[in-house]
Amino acid sequence: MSYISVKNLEKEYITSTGEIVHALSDINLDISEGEFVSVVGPSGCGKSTLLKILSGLLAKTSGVVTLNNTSIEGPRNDVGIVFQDPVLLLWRTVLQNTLLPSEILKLDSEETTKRAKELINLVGLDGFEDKFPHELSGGMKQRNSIIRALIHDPSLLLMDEPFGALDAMTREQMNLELQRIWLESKKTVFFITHSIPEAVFLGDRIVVMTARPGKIAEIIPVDIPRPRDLKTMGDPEFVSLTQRIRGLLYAESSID
Amino acid sequence: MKNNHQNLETNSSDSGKGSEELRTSSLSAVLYEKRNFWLFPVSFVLLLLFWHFIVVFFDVDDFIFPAPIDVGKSLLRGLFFIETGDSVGAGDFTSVMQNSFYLHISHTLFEAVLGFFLGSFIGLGLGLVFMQSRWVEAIIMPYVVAFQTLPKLAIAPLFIIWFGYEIESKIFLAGLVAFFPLLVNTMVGLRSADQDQLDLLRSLSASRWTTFRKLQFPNALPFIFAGFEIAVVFSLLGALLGEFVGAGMCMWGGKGQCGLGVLLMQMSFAADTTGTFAILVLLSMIGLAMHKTVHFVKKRVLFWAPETEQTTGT
Repeated sequence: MSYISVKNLEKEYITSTGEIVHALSDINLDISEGEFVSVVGPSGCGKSTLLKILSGLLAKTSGVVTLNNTSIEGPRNDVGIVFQDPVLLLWRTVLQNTLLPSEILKLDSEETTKRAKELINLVGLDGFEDKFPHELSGGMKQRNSIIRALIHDPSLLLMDEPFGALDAMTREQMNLELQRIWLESKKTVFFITHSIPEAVFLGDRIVVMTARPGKIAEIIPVDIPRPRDLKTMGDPEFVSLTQRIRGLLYAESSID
Repeated sequence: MKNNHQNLETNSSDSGKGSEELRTSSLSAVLYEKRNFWLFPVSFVLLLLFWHFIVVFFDVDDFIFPAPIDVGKSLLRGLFFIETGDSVGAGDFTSVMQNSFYLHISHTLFEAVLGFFLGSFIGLGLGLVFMQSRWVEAIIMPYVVAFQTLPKLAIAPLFIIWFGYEIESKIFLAGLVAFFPLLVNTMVGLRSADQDQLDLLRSLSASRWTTFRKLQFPNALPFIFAGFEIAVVFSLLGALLGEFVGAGMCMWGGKGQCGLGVLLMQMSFAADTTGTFAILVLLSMIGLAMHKTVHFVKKRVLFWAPETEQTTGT
């Protein structure tokens, strides 16, 4: 059985006006341990909904969703989440924010503090342990948010457009950064993005979704070897993959 | 690779520093700060001169509008017992008053400060209770709102009847007006955590208490302190109102009645407009000092908060 298994997942909402929104329709997906899966799709295709269901924060309507052979029924502490907004607590320092999950989960503090310092070092935030969010740049805050999601050593990392709010250059740096963190930590990653190049750059496989109702159009493997660098983005293989995905997405939304 | 990060990203913060960032040279930045600093004192002195000129030029009767210099003399006499010789005009209550200004100030300040702590903490506490229990809120809130819409001028005499002429009635009145801003701001503040923050805590299966302690309460502090800033000024007004309506026996020191509100009333009866102005000046300074104190504490506690967190109570 694969590490994460999604079978015939359906999700429906009832809006405040009484209409039924079919957010996800017949989603089938298997993710292996240690895999990096990118998810692209237009707004409203249900990618965030799918992430929320995998996180246990949102209930499914029907279908089977399992993580590590157990069904996902609610929030679990073997999952780490990174949102588009860093969501750092403004009154806590970088170190304290990183330690937040371990405090709540009541993990051993000496060990986790050591781990936190290693993670801070890993993402290049040394020297900033005692700084507060208002003293950090956007990229630094997002890095803080990422290591916070890793502090309790979750097996699955869910990331919902984590670099969406960053400027283009910082974003590319963060892509390299994330690849490095992933190669070192070997976590399973479910990564949502609007950026097709970002999805191809980071992913082992790319899940292309379409909207109304949210469905998986295709799952495309990325055979480009690792570690990938920014030059890779000019390779023919890379470009043809991005074009293929673009074609899938634009065909669906009938933009000429 | 780590060095790249430090180079690529500046350490600039997101908090709105707006036009300050446009200062290109440090010299112009210094001049800008200096200019801003002197703007108020200079314009204030000019205003005083203008006021004096008007009063003298139009030969305004000091019963109607005293000259600043006479107000100053009144203050000197009242505060520092410095006699400047001539009388300061009609009434001239300060020359016959029994108690020193300090006695009056201390009484009013005591009433206002105590009332502030009493009212604001009850408001804060009730806000916390309402957060825990929606049905308690549903039952009690209508009474609170209805009560707040009643004019305090009508309620003050009731307080005197219930709590007497002593200092307690003034404290309770000050507390009453300090209560509402804190209640409202606490309620708004506790509900101000955004969905992502709540989701973050929820994803870690945090209990309601943990979520409150680690997220909702700290997040509410900017609102709570904004409430304190408003309440502290209101409490001074509440104390004064109590003194207007029901005098105020001296609790310590002097004889008879004590309190700046009491003094104001007496000045008014004695037609001492100069003295009235002097007391008003004193009151503004006290109000300013109280507000600045709360503001100072707020800035220390909320060093992490973004600049704009204002919401009004009433």
